[in-house]
Amino acid sequence: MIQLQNIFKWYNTANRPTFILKDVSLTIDEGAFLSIMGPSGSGKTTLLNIMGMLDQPSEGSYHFMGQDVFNLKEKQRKELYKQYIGFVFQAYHLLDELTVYENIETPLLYQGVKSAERKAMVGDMLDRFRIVGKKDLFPSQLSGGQQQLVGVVRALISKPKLILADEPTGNLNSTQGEEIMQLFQQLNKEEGVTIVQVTHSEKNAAFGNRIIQLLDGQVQD
Amino acid sequence: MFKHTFKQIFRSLWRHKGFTGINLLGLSLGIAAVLLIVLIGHYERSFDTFHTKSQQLFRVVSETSRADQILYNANVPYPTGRFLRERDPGILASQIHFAEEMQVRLGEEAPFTEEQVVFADSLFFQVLDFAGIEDFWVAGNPATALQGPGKVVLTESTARQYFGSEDPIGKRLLLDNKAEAEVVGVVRDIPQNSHLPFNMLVSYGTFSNDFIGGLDVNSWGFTGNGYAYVRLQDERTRSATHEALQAIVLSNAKSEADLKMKMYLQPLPEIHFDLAFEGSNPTYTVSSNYLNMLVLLGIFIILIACINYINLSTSFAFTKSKEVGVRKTIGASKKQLFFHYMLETFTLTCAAAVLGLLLALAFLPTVNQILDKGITAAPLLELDFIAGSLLALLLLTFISGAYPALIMAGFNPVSSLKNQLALPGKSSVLLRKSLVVFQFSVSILLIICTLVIARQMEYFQDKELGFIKEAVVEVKLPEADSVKRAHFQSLLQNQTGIQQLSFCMGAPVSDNGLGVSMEAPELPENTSYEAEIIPCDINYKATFGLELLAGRWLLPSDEKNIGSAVVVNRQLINTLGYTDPKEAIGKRITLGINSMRPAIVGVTEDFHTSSLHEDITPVALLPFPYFYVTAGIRLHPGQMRNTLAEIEEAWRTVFPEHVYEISFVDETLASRYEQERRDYQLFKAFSVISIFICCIGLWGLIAFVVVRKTKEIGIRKVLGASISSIVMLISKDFLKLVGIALLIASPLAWYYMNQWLQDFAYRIEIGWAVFLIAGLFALLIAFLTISYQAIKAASANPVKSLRTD
Ligand SMILES: Nc1ncnc2c1ncn2[C@@H]1O[C@H](COP(=O)(O)OP(=O)(O)OP(=O)(O)O)[C@@H](O)[C@H]1O
Ligand SMILES: [Mg+2]
Repeated sequence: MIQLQNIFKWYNTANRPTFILKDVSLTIDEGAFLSIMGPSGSGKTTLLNIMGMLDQPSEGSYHFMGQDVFNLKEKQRKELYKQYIGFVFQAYHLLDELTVYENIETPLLYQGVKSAERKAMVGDMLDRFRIVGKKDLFPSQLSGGQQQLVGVVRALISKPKLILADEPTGNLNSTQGEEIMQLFQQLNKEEGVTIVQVTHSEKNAAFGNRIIQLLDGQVQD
Repeated sequence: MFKHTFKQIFRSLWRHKGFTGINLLGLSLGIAAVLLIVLIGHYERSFDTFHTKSQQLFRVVSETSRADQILYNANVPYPTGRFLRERDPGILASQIHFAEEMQVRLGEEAPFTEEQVVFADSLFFQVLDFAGIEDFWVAGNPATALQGPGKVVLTESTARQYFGSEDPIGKRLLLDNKAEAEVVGVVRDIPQNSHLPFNMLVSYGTFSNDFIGGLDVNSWGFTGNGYAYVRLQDERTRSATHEALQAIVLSNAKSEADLKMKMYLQPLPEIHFDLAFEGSNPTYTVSSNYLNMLVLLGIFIILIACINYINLSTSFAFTKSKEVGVRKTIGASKKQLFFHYMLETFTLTCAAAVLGLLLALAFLPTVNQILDKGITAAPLLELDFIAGSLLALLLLTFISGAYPALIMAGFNPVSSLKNQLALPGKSSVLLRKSLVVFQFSVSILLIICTLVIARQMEYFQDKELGFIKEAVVEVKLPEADSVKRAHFQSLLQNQTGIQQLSFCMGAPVSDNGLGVSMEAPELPENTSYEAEIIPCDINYKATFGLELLAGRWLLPSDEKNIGSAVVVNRQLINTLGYTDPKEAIGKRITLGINSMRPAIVGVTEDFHTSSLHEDITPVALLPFPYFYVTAGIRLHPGQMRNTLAEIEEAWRTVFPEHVYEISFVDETLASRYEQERRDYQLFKAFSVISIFICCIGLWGLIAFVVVRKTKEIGIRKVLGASISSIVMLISKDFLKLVGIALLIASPLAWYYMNQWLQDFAYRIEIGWAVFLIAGLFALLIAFLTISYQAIKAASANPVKSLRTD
């Protein structure tokens, strides 16, 4: 599903390039549940953003579902992204002005899904994750775990094949974190959703079926 | 999608009340100003649009070359209309006399003054048909109403005022104690947007010498208050009219100079806008330039408000950047985001438009009062207007919203999620600064203009006019009758409140004026010269405090031998070519009034006979009792009220049949500066609005700066910085911008105000003081706006602001 080849990423600071990713090559098969670990500043988020097409490497190539991502037009890349990828963030990043229901619905709006269909899809999700009762609340009225749950549901609503999660449990206590991890595991096993998560916790990493370590921008095996 | 977006937009606007409030306030004020300007413009452009086929309608006007200028006159000799008709029956021509005021008497009731009365011949309604006014004729027959003498057509309001609910038809009126007339028709009120407003129409057959002070209504020699209108239905009548007008000039020219006069046709739709005829139009004239300037002012004001929106939104965008990043990661395209933020702007603009509309409606009565107009809000319901305003709203949305929306849609999602966008880029900072400079430039420009106009108006007050204008009244005398004059004077003899009393035609600056041609051996032939005549008695000099330079003042004996002696002003002898007043004594001049040839017996220092718009003209003070239609009375300032009552009582004893009219000379003079007073009000209002909008924008910007610098301020305080140094730190940048704005605005204001001052023969010099005052004022206002928040931020407990990072 994901093939990263010789990815380099650097920033020019004080006229000298600072390397953040150094020759990262990585293949992730469909159905995998990969955890990326590594010390702070090692480039995990950067790598994830590149996989998620939010960021571009300075060098290297990236094939996603067989398509050469960086040779696609912006628009096609956006389509690919909308169709296959869902993001979950450490800080949840819910839209403060929207209710739970609306937060979950927004990706569908951007995809131009019809109203009736949208209703059904959002309703399904609310049922499935047992948050019907919270649907009219605003993010500020939810606990961190609940917010992250909504964040995950929002990422799932467009039925992505790949979920990229950047420290999804970083702001949660361990029980909340575990619930999210179990949810990931379930999604991965029952629906075959590919999951790539960044985490600092060995325990959470163990929920996945593969772990890579990033150190100074390089993958350590 | 729309519904959802709107819901989000409303919540977002609601949540950020400060941002929304500032923009709503600014934009709605701007929109209100523009709406009012549109209404004013629409009103002015709507003048005289209620006649059918107005392209066929013309007014006869003339152009005369004087020694140093061209005089335009909308008044034509009274026989003009009839002459045109007789010359070619195809020419539909109507002659009228416009009476500013007329005394009216109903039966035995006390007389009163009616304003704006038109004497019109029977073709009047064929030429000016008023057909655009629905059911114009309420009663009476338009075909015969003005035929023959003694007929009157009233407007509805006038009829109601005179006769209440009674049927006015058949009622009789006495006009100016001279002619009786019967009401034969009633028409709808003449709209205020008519260049020829009237409350009453009198058949031309009723008109006679009596109504114009005994002058001959059949004479070609003067114009009085006569106007001639024509309706030309084809080319033939058009050229026939031109020929006929040539013939009038040819047959009445007494000298070669007279042949240079031109009579021609002025299209009716141009009357209201042609300033050349301002002096002789029945009502006010407005230049297209003036209207354009209004539109420009409106555009400026609204731009200032748009800039607030742009600046605040772009500042705000960086606060909102996280939201943008999130939206992007959940699949929003650039286009969708751009659309979203444009829609947000549009929503705000629409809300501002509604508020602006309400504001405009609320202020319309005030505007009408200040401008003395009858503007209605009705045009706002016209289809054109609605379509136009929708377009304008879209344009406004685009101007305000496009740049911020583009910036937001363009955010890099990775950086915006990391909050790396907290600081705006260099180019957008520059843009913001330039926009603030623009805002303040406009405001300062307006402030300077207001100050200059105010100073020129002060100058009107303070300028020595060469005569005394304070505590002097003009009392109208209905008849120039020496016995009644003497009676009036004897009744007031023992009045201690009266300093001086003079019988005359009017004060030096008066609504009565008599310009005549002047000839003298010293003057070149083939060029016409004009002098102003002030008929007056021997007390005139003392009453108005004129200064005699040479020779003697008028003597009682001069009145017995009219036309033998004249006292003139310095300007007149200068025109004759003398510099030393003494040289002129004994010289004779010929005046175009009864062709008299008096000798100059005295010369006075110059004094003004019109507003400061005009140069001082040659003046001849002539003892000529026939024209003593005014008593000029100088009062003791302390006891005016009593004295005025005594004067009125004396007057009523002498003239029981008439309407008492009195006016203060300084008020008459002030009325000559109405336009300037309006300009002043206008600029003052615009200055206040624009500086206000600027300041609320500045307020908003500072709020962002303070938020951004909270931590820096905290650190500085911990390091020992004083509050004032922190306030300076925050304000300095913005105050610099105001300084730059002053540098930009000053030369522009200087140029524009110099143009404005050109209208005055006597004017102030624009000194550096106005620029200094305007600059200091703007700086002060800006500083006050900034310092409130700056002081608050600077006095905050540093420990707190550092902890909450
Ligand atoms: N715009 C930028 N310019 C310069 N350096 C940057 C920029 N963005 C990120 N970096 C650097 O890249 C490095 C990797 O950042 P990244 O966010 O990928 O680390 P991370 O492994 O996710 O760390 P953490 O565990 O703290 O989230 C960091 O050292 C960071 O300072
Ligand atoms: Mg990270």
